[in-house]
Amino acid sequence: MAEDERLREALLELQLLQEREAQALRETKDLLACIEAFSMAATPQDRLDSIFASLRDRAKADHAMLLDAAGAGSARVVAADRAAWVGAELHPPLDLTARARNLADLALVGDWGGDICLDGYAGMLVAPFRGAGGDCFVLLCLRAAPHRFAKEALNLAERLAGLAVRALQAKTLAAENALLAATIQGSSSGVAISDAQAPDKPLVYVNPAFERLTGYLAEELLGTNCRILNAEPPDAPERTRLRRTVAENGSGRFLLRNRRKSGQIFWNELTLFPVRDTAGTVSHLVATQNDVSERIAAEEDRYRTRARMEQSLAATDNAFLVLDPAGRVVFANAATSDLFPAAGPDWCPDTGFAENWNAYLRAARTMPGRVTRLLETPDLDALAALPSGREVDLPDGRSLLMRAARLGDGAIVVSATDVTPLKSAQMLLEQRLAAIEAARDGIAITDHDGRLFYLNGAAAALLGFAKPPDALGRKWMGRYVDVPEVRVAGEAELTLHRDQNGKTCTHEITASRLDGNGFVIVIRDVTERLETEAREEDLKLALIRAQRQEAVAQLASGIAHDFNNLLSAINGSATLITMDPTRHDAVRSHAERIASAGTRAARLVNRLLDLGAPAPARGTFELRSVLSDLEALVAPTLPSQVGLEVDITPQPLLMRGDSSELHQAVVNLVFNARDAIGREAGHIRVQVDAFQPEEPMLLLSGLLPETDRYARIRVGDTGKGMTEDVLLHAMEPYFTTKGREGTGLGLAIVGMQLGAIGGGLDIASTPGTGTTVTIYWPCQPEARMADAAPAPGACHDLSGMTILVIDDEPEVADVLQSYLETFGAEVAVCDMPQDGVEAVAEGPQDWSAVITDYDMPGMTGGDVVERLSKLAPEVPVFLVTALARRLSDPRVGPGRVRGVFAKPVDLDKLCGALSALRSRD
Amino acid sequence: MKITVQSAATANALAEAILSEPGRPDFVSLHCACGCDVGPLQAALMDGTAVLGATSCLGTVTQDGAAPALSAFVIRDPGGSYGTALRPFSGDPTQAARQATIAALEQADRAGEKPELIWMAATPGQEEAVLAGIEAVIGTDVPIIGGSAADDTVQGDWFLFDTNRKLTEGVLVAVMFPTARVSFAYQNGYAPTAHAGRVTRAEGRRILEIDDRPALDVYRDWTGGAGLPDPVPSETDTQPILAQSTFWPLGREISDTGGVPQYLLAHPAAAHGSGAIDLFANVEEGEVLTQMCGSVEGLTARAGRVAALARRAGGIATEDVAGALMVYCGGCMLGVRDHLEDVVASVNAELQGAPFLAVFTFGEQGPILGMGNRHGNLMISCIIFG
Repeated sequence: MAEDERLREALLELQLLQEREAQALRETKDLLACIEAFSMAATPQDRLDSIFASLRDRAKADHAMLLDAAGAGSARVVAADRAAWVGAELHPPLDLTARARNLADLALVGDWGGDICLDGYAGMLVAPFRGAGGDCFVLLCLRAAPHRFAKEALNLAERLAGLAVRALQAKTLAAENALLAATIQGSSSGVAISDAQAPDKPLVYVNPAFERLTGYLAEELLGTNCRILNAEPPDAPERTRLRRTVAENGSGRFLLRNRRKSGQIFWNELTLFPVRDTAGTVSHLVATQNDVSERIAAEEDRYRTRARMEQSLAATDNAFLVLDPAGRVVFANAATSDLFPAAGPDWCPDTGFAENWNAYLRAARTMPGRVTRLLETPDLDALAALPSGREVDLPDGRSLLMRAARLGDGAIVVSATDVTPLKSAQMLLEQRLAAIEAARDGIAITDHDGRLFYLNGAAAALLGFAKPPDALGRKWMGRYVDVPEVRVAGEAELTLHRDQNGKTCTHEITASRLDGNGFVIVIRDVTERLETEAREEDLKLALIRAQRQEAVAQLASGIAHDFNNLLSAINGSATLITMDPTRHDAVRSHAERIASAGTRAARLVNRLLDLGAPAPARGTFELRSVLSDLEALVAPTLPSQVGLEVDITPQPLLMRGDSSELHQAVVNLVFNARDAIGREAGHIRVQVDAFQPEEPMLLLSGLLPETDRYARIRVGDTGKGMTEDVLLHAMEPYFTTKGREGTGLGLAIVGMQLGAIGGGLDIASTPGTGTTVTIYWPCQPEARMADAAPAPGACHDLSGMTILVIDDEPEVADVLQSYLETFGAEVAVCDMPQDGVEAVAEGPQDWSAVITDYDMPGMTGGDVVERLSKLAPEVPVFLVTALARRLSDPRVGPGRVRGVFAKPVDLDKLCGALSALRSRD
Repeated sequence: MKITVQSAATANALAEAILSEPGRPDFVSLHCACGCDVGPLQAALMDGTAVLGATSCLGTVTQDGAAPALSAFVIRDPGGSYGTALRPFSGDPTQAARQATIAALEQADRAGEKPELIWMAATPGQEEAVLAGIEAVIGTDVPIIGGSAADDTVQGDWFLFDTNRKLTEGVLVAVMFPTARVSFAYQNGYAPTAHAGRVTRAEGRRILEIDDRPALDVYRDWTGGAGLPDPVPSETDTQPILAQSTFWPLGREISDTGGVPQYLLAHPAAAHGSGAIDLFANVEEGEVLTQMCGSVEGLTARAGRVAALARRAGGIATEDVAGALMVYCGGCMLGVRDHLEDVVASVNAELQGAPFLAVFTFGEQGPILGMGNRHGNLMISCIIFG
């Protein structure tokens, strides 16, 4: 390498090192100058100002300030070279405390919010310093644009930041010291300082308050021991304790009787504490002293007052408990121990609330009742937060109203009142109120003007309000159409009407005067009851009428019965004569006339059966038009849970009779169905169609000949159904299963009406499933057949048949025997039904058929049919009766007998029926 | 702070090597020969790492010797702050550099602050404007050290890259706030001769006349023809003279130390038959140019001496050196290409095995004592982290 190159290189390195050293020297000198200025400053404020000045001079800062950066996102100026900035807030866009920063362009950093406008500044030095206590301060320097800070400036600022913080702290400390001195000097409490290192520990400082307290001047006290003030005997315990504490340079609080210079005695509360130097040696003893004579007097007064209060509270039944802020018992009266027995601590003063309560809980768990959560974990603060307190149930059955209040000093007062009797009364009242609310009758209380201020739900509904609150303040009488002209002044019973939902309702109202100048109004809706009563009255009248007619009918039927039997014999004999080919034509001609006259006589006799029955209604009507409003009429009366279905045949049905009777009958049946369903959910179905029996049909009430057409009206329900026993009596007047709600007349009258017009009624019912009542209302016949004499016997063949005839009328039985034998049958006659039944039972296979009368002594035809159905069910039975139109025995219905024939018997038809048996065999 | 320097033949291998070390890299300076695919490296480091990438003439050298493909200078320094930004010139390199500096500070989360150091790379030709743009943001007292991207044959194949893109024209700025101490040196390895003259006519980086004579004639006279090819270009030709002029640069006196002048070098890049010479640095009319001369031995040993100077200037003990980043003029490297192992040895001897990465550039930027940040040619710089 060339020498000059080596030289240049060495020089360059030397220059570099020199520059580095020079830079270090500059920085050191700058720092030294700063520290010199700092140390030369007289006051902490001057030291702060020196730092700001150094930063301006050495770092070329235009301004400098010290920030308290304790707040997140904000910093407060605590010192600055511009007085106006002190106290200002800054909201820097970066974390000033994170690191030292030399900002070259403030505009690139972000928005600086706060009280100081930084526009116009480009450079900023940020030098954070964290104090020993964790407080973070930032020394901040600003330089106006376009200048920036040199790299070394940040080093200087970092080094000065700690000094600035120390100066600030010194300034703060000086201010605090000055404040402290002024506080002691101006304190209302006496302050005395003694030299703990000097013999006898003489006073070295007393403040003006101490002079006022003792009456001595400072110059009289300084250099002396303050025992000259003590008025206690030298061996008094408190004075002894103070003497020992002073000797030990200890601390303590004392209450002493002192004597002023004037000789006046006062109570002095003295607080003593030592002051140590940096080596830890006690250098001084400081005593603060206060005249507490008034407080002592007040405490004595409070003590007396408290004693009186404790005596008073001990006599009450309410528990009172006072706890100090630490939860220790200050006071508890006897009732506290009674309500919350706590074996052991027994709520004695200075015992803890927790230990007392735990003792109580141990006892409580042996009691019959439950220990509630409120008792298990008592929260007195939560109780104190409840302005009205809280009801608590004790396991011994008592109920308490507990209250608590937190006093200003943190103590808490708890009271407990036994509200068991009050709660019982309240419960009784609630039960009564619930009963009133649940009452079906409306109950309301009004003022003297009749304005409602209480009413139950029923009253609101009866008076047409959606809910009780809607009615409050209104006059109840205004809800009626027939308001009494005279104001109700005392006890009153009224019947008033009001329109509701298009219907006029009748209310019975009882008004009773209250003691407190108002009325109790009881409202009962009697609309339905009145309607029921009216309907019952109508039914009773109808029954009386029907019974009267029944009596006549009974008389007529007896006569008709006998005549029919006679006519049976006459007609039958005449028929036999006409059939006898050996008779002369003239004889047979006479016999035919006898038979013809007999037939007309029979028809005449049957009219006797109508005697006593209500006159058959005249007129015709179309069924569908009559029942068209049925659904609209009855649906509103049904409970919401009961459905109604009406199914009427589209076929026109021209009926005979009184349409209103039919309408009323159907309505009655629907109401019966509704009552059968009761309060359960259910369904009612009304079906109407045309019906014609294929053969004579015996019903529960009535017999339907196969020749007539009927409207069949079936009313079925899903109600509780009828037992067999109930079904047997269903048609009897006054028989009811509804108790007082029913009259027992509905079905009986419907049966009578149907009987009167030649209709019938049948009931099918299964317990638990429901009932269907069917009425058969006769249609208007299209054309009436002319009466005709029975046709002479056709060619019937009864040969080989063995037939038993049971009839107590021998003439009738003889005619039947002769006629049947004419056609080849072998006929036996029996006038005692019991004998006939036994004969058949002995050899059922010997009998082709049995013909029995119905009205017989000792045993009716129904009995015969019932017995034979059990003893010889395979033997066909035919029934003949003189009172066919009144026959209502269910045992002789379809399926039980092969045929029912009215007397005088149409022998030809009877023969035909028997012959049909043979042909089937 | 922990520094590692790693090399590999492929970007994938280098990425794997970088990521195999514990801890996320905070800063990576990536340098490679211009034929390398850097895509995998860009993808691998796209996790917030500040990356400065630039091509280096014929690769780099590290403490392990020549690295002809890719090398990485990796800093892991969780307490420090690092940011990089790449901007195209877009016709205004000063503004591009300014924007890149602001963006790099924002990436480092140190917006508006003065960094400890700027490490930069730019494509050749606009370095003075780039320095002005950076200083407009952070002032003139922050050291800016770097080198211009280079290719292998001065054909303009150089490029810059960060984790997002590659640019063939632009500037890439890295701002560094390391927790470790930083020291640096910026020197050349040439001696002045007795020949000197004033530039009487110049246009940017082209000198037309020295002392009112064609610059090429003057240069030929001063070097005795050693700095020019043979034959010289005809009147209309332009001929690269980079290799020949490596040992014959022109110096501009920029300071004086104890009566000994210090020079900033300009490397003649091309000779024109018209008599003009193109340099890799701007020269103003009126400036005095001194003919400088160097030698293989001087350039070989210079790298270690610059590293030593950088360490001593910062007062950093050898055992405290965490790593070094060097810029070595590409032209010089071409002059001592056969002696690169000696270059490595000289640096290793000084740094006692501490990792280092030296990039070969077509222009070097650094601070000159008392003169601020400058762009020069045939310079060597070294940054010591300790």
